[in-house]
Amino acid sequence: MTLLEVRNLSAGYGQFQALFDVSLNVNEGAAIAVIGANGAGKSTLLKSIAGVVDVIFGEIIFDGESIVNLQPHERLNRGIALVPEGRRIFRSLTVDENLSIGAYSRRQGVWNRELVYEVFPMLAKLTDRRADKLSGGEQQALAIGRALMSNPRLLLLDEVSLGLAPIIVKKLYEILPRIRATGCSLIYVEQDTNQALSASEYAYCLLEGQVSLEGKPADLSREQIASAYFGIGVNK
Amino acid sequence: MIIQGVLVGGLYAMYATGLSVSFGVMRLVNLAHGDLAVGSAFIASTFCLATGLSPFLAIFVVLPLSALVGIGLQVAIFNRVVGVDPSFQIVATFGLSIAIQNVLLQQYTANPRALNVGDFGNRSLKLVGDDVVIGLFPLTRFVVAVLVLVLLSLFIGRTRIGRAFRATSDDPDIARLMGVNIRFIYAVAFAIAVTTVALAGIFNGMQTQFSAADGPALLIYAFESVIIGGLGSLWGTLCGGIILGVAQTIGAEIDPGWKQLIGHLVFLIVLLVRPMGIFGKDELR
Repeated sequence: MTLLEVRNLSAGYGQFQALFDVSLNVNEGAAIAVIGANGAGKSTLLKSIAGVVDVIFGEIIFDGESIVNLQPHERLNRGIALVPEGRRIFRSLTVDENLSIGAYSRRQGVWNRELVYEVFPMLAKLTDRRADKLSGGEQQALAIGRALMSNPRLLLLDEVSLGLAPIIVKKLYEILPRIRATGCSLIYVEQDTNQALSASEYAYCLLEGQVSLEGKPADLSREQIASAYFGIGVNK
Repeated sequence: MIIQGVLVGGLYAMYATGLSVSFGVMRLVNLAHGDLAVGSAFIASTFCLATGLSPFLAIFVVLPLSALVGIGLQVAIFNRVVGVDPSFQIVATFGLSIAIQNVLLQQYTANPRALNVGDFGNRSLKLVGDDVVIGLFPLTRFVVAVLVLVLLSLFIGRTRIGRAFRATSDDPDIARLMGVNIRFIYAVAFAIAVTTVALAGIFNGMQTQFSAADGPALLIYAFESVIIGGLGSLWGTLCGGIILGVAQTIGAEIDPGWKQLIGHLVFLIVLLVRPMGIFGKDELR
């Protein structure tokens, strides 16, 4: 069943349009990768789903209803949570307090503090530490945990790997299946294509604000991805 | 003498608390802060004249009123200038400052007023024999100031809304994304700011005379306390108020004309040596 449908979406910031006629589908429980170069519009796509970017044209259907006119917190209440690019944790709050803010919407579900600490053991011993004293990997884990506290049905992950050591990224990606097992769908945006493609069953590649390629990762050749990613040597 | 200065510092801290809260949560510098204090003192005095009741009872009437005024100002004016270019904030709050001063001038003329607390203002406590004597009123005022800060820091440190306060201060966009209604948070913050400054205005009025144009001078003391203590630290604000109070008392002892001067000098020295304030975070954001 389709959980999220983005239809012919154009979006941008003020005068600047970053997305042109993008369509995307996410089935319930699926993991979708959105790849593309810097500035291709990946983050804008996630932000417009979360409701923090102005939609110029198009539809966003979540669970059968249009959410295009809803405020970010109303979308959160329906089960859309964003892990923002650059983590954006609350720096002066402790780990525990960050999680509490994540649960501010009081959406019910399986996720609670204990489960987050179980899934991210690296956070469990840091509960009273101020978030700005955490390492990058711990901060990223906290950002994901904070989003999970709202019990999302769809988790939007914006560049989880940004600025982290490959071994930490691998660790974080190993946790994602556990999140999916709770019935939560995922969309990850990455510049690092290998990581994202290997963890997803369907992928979209964005180029200059448009979908340049889509398909199951297994069906996509390296050459196809390279040309869709960089926009060179395209032979249609 | 030092004790006296510490007790005066309690008043300055009370002035500064609201400034600290509104800057901490909204990054809003309210230039009408002092005028709100003076306005509250006038309202309290009207209440006392009309009813013949003690100014201490007026507190219970004025504080809820000022909380409402705070929410009203936030909704009507400040929501429009939060998060935009700071120069808009300065224009808006400076305008509000002038507006309040002129309304007060119209309503109450330029004559100074005072809140009469009877002989309570003159009573004193002997601490050590007959050598160390402190006024009961300054002591009460100091205790109230500390109480306000304790309650406020419990509120901000322990409650759900308090947590949302700090989250909004760290990153308003993400707080909003987490379902925090930041307009509500701002309204609460401003209600707290106006309530605490109203309390300070009334306590000030119980001790000295006040007139319609006093606001800006009070604003300076509040600013200095906040800066000395360090932005965003409530206990730093208390400490800043105390340092300012002690400096002024010592200055007045040397020469009555030096009271303000020494206070300002200490402020400038702190600004030079430790620009982030004594309890401020090491990084300036």
